[in-house]
Amino acid sequence: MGHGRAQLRAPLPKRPPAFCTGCPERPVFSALKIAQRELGETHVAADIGCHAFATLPPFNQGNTILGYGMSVASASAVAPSFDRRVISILGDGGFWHSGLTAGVANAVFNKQDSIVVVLENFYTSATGQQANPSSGKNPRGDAVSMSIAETIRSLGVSWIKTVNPYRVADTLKVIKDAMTTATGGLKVIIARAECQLERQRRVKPETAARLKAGGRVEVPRFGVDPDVCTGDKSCMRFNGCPSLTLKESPDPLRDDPVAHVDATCVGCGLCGEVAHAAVLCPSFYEARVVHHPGAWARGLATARRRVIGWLQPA
Amino acid sequence: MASRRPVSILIAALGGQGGGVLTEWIVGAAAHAGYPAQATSIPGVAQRTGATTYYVEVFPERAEPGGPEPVFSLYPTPGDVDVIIASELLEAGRTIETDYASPGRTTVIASTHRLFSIAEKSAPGDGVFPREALEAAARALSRRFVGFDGLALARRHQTEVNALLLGALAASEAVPMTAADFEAAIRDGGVAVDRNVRGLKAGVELVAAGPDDGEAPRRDRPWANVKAERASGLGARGAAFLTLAARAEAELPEPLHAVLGEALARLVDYQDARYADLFLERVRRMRALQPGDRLTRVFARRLAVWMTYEDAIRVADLKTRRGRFERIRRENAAPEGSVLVVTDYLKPDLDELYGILPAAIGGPIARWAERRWPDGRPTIGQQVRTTTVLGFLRVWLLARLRALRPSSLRRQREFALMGRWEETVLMAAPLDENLACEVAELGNVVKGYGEVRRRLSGALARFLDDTARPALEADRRAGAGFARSIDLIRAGRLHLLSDEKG
Repeated sequence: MGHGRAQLRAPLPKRPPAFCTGCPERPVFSALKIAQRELGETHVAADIGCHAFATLPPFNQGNTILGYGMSVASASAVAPSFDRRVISILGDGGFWHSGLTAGVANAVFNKQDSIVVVLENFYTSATGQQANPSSGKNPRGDAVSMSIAETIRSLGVSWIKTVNPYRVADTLKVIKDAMTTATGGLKVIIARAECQLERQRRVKPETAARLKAGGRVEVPRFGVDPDVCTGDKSCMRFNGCPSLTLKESPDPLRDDPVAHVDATCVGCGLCGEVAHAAVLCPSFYEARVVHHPGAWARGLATARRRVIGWLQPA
Repeated sequence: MASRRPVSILIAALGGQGGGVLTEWIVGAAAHAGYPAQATSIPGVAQRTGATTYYVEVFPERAEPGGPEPVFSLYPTPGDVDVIIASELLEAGRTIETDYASPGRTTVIASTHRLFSIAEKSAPGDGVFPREALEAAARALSRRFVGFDGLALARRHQTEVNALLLGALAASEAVPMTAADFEAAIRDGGVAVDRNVRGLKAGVELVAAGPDDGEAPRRDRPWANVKAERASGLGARGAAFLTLAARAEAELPEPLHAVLGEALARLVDYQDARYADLFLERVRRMRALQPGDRLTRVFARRLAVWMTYEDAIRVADLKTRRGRFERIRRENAAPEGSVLVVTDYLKPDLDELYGILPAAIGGPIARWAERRWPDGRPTIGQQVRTTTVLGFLRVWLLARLRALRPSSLRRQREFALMGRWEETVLMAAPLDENLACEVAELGNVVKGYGEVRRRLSGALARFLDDTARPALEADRRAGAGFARSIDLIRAGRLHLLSDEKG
């Protein structure tokens, strides 16, 4: 035993599981991490679901996991011993499973002053995209419309904010509001966007078919200017996207690698949003390739390139 | 029959990288050939990019109806594995680290491309696990090592890494199934059949063609060629650069020419020849105290990068260059006739804006702003479409403000800290070359933008005054070498870079 370790000399870096590329849950934890950097750390009760990956690097957000849908219930138990509002995380699966009654209803009943973040991504994704009441249909395909926001409102919660998680700055502001508002009682933030894995399964073949048929298709992808990136890696610590990786610096005078977005990027925009919200650096850009743009758009682009070309030395 | 054992195959992969499909193909091929087989996996990590493994056992004799059935294991045992297949090099290393491979028995088939783990990505400096160590360990602790860059090959053959690995497995003859059995398994699977069969065949050929020497090792191009390229890239300022480079080459030995030349090109590009001359002067002064090439090299690199600190003018300049848009087009494989729209995420904070102003004007504003917003400055967030004329102009005009730079507040502040660092290197230079190099490396601490850069700058200033210099003085007085200071300064540098809050 131990030959391998001796041969390799140093322990290998661990590779914990993480959110998929473009996952709508990741930006919520980016915002949560930035919020805690600015306002100080508090207790975060995590739950079962993909979002449990937020307890791992680079987010390290989540102090406890009690059981499926049990985050709010567990937070209720510890909230009185904290001088800040505690935060519970719930997926839509966990919310409908038991979080609604054991967690939210109980917290309202006990007039608990804390925060619940519901990640509504329309499937019970961690176990394979099973339908739940947020999916819009049941497993047999019958249309069902059940709203988390309406359900919570009916329990008497009035502080409910729905956010688009990909807008990190907005989410950050809502989290900070929830942490600092004078309003007591339960504050619920619903971060609503479709599971990216399921979305890609749907969108990819559609896009391919449209491209083949000569239709207009926009393909967004993010990038890093390798000469603007200084290799400080602060972006990695708020992101962890599989497509945000490293490459050798093209700069002969630097030796640390620089950030790089590889071809698996789905263009969700998180890296740019994080660089913006956490004021990290100006290295990120979105490159949107418009296929089959049509004559007018093509003419306009050519004219623009010509004018811009006058200002650029060759 | 009693003596026969199953062939054991351990598959190491990342969730979502096709390890599950690879496992199904192997089991399918075994079924097609009539060999009993069993596969197990760790549920719940598919698609989740974490390290994961699959395990397959294939009994190498055809099952007879009514005959005895083989007993399979659910788990691999260290040292008792015939084949290890890894879809990525670090994961191959992980099976080696945990002693699954044995030199007398195991065939290791691995794609040698790297997907970095989060720890490697967020480590300070270069935290990437050395690839040579992984490959050497896989070679040393296996009977046979078959390695190839599956990601690059998959792109070239328009296929997937796992199909290439399957082909390599078929050709390795480490399992009783043949390439025909594997192809049948792919066809039975019915998903992207052409693409995967293409990969299978490419994988078979790869192994048949024998060991690959790998890509030709990257050779540094001769400096004379690079110099000519840099000069032409500088346009009208190219001549001034060549004059400076010639002077540096006359004064300093050949091994330093490339580093100094790159530095001079960068400084001329950033500001002008006079600015570059300032750099050369500082390098000369350092060299007079410590003639070793090693210190000159480290100091010159760190100084050149620092002197070309990324202010808003620099960023605007880099963002509006012709070559940049060409690179983006290329990287996104934008076809002829498509339109490229680039949106830049710019968010300079106030410091970066009044930093451009002359120190006499910017100074009072800075003092006021620092009182008004003690932690963190307000920012002006902009998402600029730099492929439109107005968007481009906005950034381009900022880049024209280079003339303001020499008298700017930002330059004054950068040069003040740079000077403190340089003084410390100058203190160390006559004492000990290793020590001086370690101090010079501290120049690499200050990086990033806005708050990140402010934090690192403050931390470096404190570290220089409160730790590095006192340690150096203490070692000098004790007169027993500088090992202590060197360790302390190195540890300090890594700490400064890794601390999220500074």
